[in-house]
Amino acid sequence: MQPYPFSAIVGQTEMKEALILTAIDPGIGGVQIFGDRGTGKSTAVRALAALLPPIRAVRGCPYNTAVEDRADCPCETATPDEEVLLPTPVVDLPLGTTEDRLVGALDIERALTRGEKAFEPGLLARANRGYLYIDEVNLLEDHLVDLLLDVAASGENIVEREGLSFRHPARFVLVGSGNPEEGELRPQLLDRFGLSVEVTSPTDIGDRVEVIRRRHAYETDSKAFLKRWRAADTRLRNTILSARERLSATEAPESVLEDCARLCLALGADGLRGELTLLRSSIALAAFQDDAKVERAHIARVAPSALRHRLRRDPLDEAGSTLRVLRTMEEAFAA
Amino acid sequence: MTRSGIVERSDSGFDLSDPWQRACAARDILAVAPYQLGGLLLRARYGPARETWIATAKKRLQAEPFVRLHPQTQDESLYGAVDVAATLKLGREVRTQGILAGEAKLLLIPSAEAAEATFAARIACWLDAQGGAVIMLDEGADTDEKAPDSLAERLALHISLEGVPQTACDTLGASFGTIQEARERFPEVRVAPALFEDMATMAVALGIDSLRAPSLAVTAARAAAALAGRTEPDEADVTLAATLVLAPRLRRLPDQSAEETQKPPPPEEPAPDTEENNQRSADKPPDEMPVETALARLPPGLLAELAAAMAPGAKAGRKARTPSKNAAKGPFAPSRPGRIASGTRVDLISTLRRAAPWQTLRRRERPEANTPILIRPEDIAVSRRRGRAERLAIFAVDASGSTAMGRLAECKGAVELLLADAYRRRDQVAVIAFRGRAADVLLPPTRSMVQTKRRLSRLPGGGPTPLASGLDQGFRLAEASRRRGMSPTLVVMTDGRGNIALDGSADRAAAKTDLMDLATAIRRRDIPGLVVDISRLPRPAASELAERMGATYLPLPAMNAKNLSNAVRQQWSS
Repeated sequence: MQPYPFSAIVGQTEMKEALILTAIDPGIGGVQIFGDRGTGKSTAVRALAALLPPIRAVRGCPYNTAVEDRADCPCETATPDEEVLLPTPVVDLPLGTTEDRLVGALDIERALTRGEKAFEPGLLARANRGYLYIDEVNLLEDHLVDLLLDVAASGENIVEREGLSFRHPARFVLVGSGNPEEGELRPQLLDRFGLSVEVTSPTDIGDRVEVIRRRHAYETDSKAFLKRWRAADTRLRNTILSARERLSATEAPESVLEDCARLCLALGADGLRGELTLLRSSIALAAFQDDAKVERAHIARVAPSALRHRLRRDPLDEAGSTLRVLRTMEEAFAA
Repeated sequence: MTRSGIVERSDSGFDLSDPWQRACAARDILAVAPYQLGGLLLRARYGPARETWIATAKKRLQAEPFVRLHPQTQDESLYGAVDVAATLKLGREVRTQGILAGEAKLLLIPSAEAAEATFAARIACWLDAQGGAVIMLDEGADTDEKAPDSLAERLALHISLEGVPQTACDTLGASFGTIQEARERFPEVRVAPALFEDMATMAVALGIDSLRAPSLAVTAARAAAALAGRTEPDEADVTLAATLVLAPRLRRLPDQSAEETQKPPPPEEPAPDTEENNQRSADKPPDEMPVETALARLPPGLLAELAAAMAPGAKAGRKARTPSKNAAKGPFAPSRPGRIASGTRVDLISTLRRAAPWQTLRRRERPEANTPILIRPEDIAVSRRRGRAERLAIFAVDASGSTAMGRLAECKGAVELLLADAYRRRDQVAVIAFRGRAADVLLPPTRSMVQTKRRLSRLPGGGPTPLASGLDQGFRLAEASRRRGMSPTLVVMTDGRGNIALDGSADRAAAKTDLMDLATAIRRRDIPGLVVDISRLPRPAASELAERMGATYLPLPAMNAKNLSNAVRQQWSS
């Protein structure tokens, strides 16, 4: 069955926008989506992948490398010049995954039968140029999350084990979702995701009814339902594509840089990562909205997602971090 | 095990006020659309009622690929792994097929209350991706011991056979043939738009936040209609669906005010426009919706019955305990090079991986060797267990008397401080408060700060001191956590003087006897403990209790969040 159409998701504006922004500029980094059960977290991720345009890649290449980049690709495919169109890869990372399956390992079959040292690509190879999705990321073993974030940041998977030394491109957007009631990510890992989104069930009864109604329509007659939403999805895809093109031309004036810095300083967000993410996502938002220049309004809109997971945690503070971001923004921008 | 020879009644007129009949209705509805409904949660201990139910369910689902899957199943069996013997024999990699990658579309999970969150997440992933169904058997003995929510939430039908006698178990319900017909009819069943509103309204009125529940309720209504031979659900089908899907998920009684619910009360301060506040306003059922009419569909008394079962502290007497298995083994960690010794487990795959690249070379060195693979001692890799199981600090707090509020607040502070630096170690905490007639588990074991804040936002205080009940709850929690492989520490904050016995009577002597019996049991089970004496002048009662429990005694008249959390940390490190 085809995934649920992205445009048909009711509400959840912040989550949808965060996913779209990373589709426009993958450099923003990963997205973490935390919220109650049954709020459509996985639905949104799967829907986004179906929405994105296909990628061109060398036929048979396990790393989805584009023909023009194949010089850097370690694959030994038989058809280096043939091109195929692949859907944007979305690789699901099951919780039970071993490190072997994730990063790849020695190809046992070839080693045993032919005595050759060869590399068997793992899930990171398959996710190249696409998305890696982890449901319940808060339950994944810490060392795996660590490793994933490292690879996602460097865009390269380096394997040094079992007498193997191997590297291959692994550029992907990491999307992790989870329910905070089941445990949280360590703060060291939290702030390495670019954006952080909190989702809750819609509060309006009309919205709630609409969610159930659409879900039901999709389940009982998915063909008609998909057809009904195809136009909206196509429009959104085209907007994302043109935003990608506009991205480099979108201007970020000095005043905007100052705003970012002032806000992060006032919040005490550690390091420069917060400012960079805030800036990048503001630019992506401006490109998405077809504005030539980034303005304060763009920053204000993405600030909660870009900063709420970077605040120093005070266990005795009752106010949520979203509230803290909003309050600080009010003060910092009041001047 | 089915009582053959009895002709099963084919009418589907179930009496929904009877738990056995509810269970039968759920079973038949599940059989009509198992994969659309996600499955069923059956809460019952082993017994004739449960076995009859399972047997009749299997009969109705006989055409489905069915697998029984224990929650302790290892990943190798779930996802498949390299078959070492076959790989070596054939000289190429042979993998066994994992259960979740196989034909099975219907899983039967026994002892679901013992399932860990990671197992639940794996099955939930499989459900989402493969569209299978799960029948989960929850054998929890206490209200605190239950199947993981993340999985239960995905299963439409929730039923309980607790307290159903065998005599009640007649074989009623639809025949296999009727169900087959209903399955064919199911895709044709249409629903009126008003049904979506009804289900959504009812869900909100019952305090159910998730949107999956009303969605599943609509599907259940369609299945019920198909079973009854209709192409559109009528009033009876809607009632049935609401009874089996929505009512068991009850979070609060509709006529209760928000203060008495498990959810946090609405904020006192003027509400800025944040998500948190939006979420809270969802808790209030909108006035314009016909909540009463919608809820009037449910069988009378059902909600009250469910609410009573849900209330913490409502227990049907003492139940036999299952003996604790050898606990605290901890999960597996990645394997490491090592030597074969007693007690170690050789990781064959890693060993082969380490040996493989050198085979050509070694063969050249020893051409005379006729073994298929040349393995040297330095290739051996052994599996390691994680050194330490997850730790759990159980706080049993005296919430009686006039000074209770301050004490609870400090305890809450200590819990949050512990959690804040417990990230790396993944420690968990639980809080039990005892006051009035019995003790309540305020915070079930968790390492989630969000849940802690939510649950401890409003603490009850005052009244007499059921210390024995508090110790009892702590003991149960500690034992339950051990069965899940954690290592618990029991922190009792008391002056050592209880005045309410376990049975709730205000009998000082009985209270004392109960208390000492429990303390002895705790020591016998070797549960490490800490008794924090909170009285202004340290008294012998508390130190006596500590001695009996085999616990550390710590007089802390000026207790606060800081020194309490430090004390627990010290206890942990000793």
